[in-house]
Amino acid sequence: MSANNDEDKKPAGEHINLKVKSQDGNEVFFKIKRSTQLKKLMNAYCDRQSVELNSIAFLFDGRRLRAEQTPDELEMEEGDEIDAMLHQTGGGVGF
Amino acid sequence: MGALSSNRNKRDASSQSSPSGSDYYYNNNNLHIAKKHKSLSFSPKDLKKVSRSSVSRLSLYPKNITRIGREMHAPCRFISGFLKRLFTYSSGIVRPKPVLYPKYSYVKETAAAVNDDVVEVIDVDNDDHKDGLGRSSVDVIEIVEDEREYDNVAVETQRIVDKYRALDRNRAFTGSVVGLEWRDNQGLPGFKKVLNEIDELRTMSLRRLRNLVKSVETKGALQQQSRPAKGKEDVENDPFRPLTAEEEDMVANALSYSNWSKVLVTHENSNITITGKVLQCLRPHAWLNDEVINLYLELLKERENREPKKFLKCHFFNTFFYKKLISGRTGYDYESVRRWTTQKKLGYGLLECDKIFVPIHKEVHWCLAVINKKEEKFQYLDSHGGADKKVLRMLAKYITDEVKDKTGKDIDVTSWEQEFVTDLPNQENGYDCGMFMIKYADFYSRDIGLCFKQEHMPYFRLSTAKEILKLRAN
Repeated sequence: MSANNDEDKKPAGEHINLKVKSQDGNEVFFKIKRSTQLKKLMNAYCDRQSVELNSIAFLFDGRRLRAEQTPDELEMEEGDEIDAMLHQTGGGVGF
Repeated sequence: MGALSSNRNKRDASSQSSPSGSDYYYNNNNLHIAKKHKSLSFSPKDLKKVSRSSVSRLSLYPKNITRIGREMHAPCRFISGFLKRLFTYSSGIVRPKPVLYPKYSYVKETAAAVNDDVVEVIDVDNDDHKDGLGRSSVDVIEIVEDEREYDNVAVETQRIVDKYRALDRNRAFTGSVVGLEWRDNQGLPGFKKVLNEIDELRTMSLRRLRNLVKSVETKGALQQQSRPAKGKEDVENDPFRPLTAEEEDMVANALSYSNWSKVLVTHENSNITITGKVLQCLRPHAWLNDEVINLYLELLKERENREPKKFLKCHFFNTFFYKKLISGRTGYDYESVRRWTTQKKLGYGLLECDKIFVPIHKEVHWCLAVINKKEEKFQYLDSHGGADKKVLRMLAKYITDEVKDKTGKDIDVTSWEQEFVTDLPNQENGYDCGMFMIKYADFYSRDIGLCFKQEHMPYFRLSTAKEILKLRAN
């Protein structure tokens, strides 16, 4: 009985649900191991959205994410939100 | 048949209004400089007319919807008197067209195909930019002044040295006189007269020397007094410090196309990685991208931490903040940025800051908004002189919510002035707004006036590249 409980808890502790939100408000949910590098999540998201990885800036609470970081390292919690922002450029309006 | 011909008209109209095929882009900035190299037979006036016709507007709609890899791509004509010697083939890698296609790789291919067309344009414009590396005139003036100053000092020193030499000569003379005196004491009255004369001369020269010393001393004191003023001058000259030869080489090397895919620097704190490709935006005429801007703003913050006395306490939001703030389902969305500014994340309280800088990205343009807590006002700086009331309204809302969330207090910012700064250096082209924007932030965080001009931009591009490569803002 107690062994069973342990087994139930373990996966829950290892995995975490994260939400990736694009700047137009679309949300994609991911389940990822706490110790897995976010590279995996980023690649999966870009594949899904058919965009190049380097055209997107992933932010967590306003800070850029590095592909090698893990949820553990960032102290992410269940349900946390990652922002997927398009890179920006600008030079000036016509004049 | 009728349908066919009307279709053709439509196609013609759209190809006229937008030779590059990106109607959306073109009509939104219908006079953008990048269009110069196309269909010269149309004057901008004609184009405007065409773009207003309903037919051409109809042609906008399908393209408008498409999502893109980057929000908007610069024309990026990497024209270079700047580094010309190094990259004579520079036109080979150019992103000549605004990209509005969902498939980046497809765009890359098409862009490569189009490059050939653009080559001539780049050659044509080359002459204009021979002064790409030119020092700002202010610098030159400064150097001249310095030289003059040094000259003055040199003349003064020379004069003093001469005086001392004269004095030495006198001394030698009087020395011999001492000998004479001695002999005089031995009873040679013929020398007494001479001795008296010499004594007189000596006292005179001594007096002169004393006066000289006094004047030099007072001058020294004056100079010391004026030193704080000079210090202030330094503060104002700081942003214009010329690059050393090595720094120039470093920048030139980093901007070379051989570094296109190489990671040049990684900023640990912000996780921003700058590759050669990203840094290319600091070449003359290129549009600045978010990564360079965000990294530069990080460096400004670090600069302030390094020398807190010299700079105002500031916070620099990144370029995504405002986008995030206004992109909720119903527009304004505080919740999406609530966690951006916790004490733990920042290491300081946002509300302790004198000024909070908010870069504003407007499709193809960079502006700056400032929450000026010190003077209790909201400021908006647009290098093209634009004014966006919505931005300041949103920021007023934001700061109210932020104070409420972080401290539990209610503040009333309705009395704060909303200032659209008009007395600022203006952009005189279609590509430097990003540079203007980060320099507004730079100068404001130094708490000095915006004492720069369009002509400083080539220099600022270089110095910014240098600062980014060294991960240290001056």
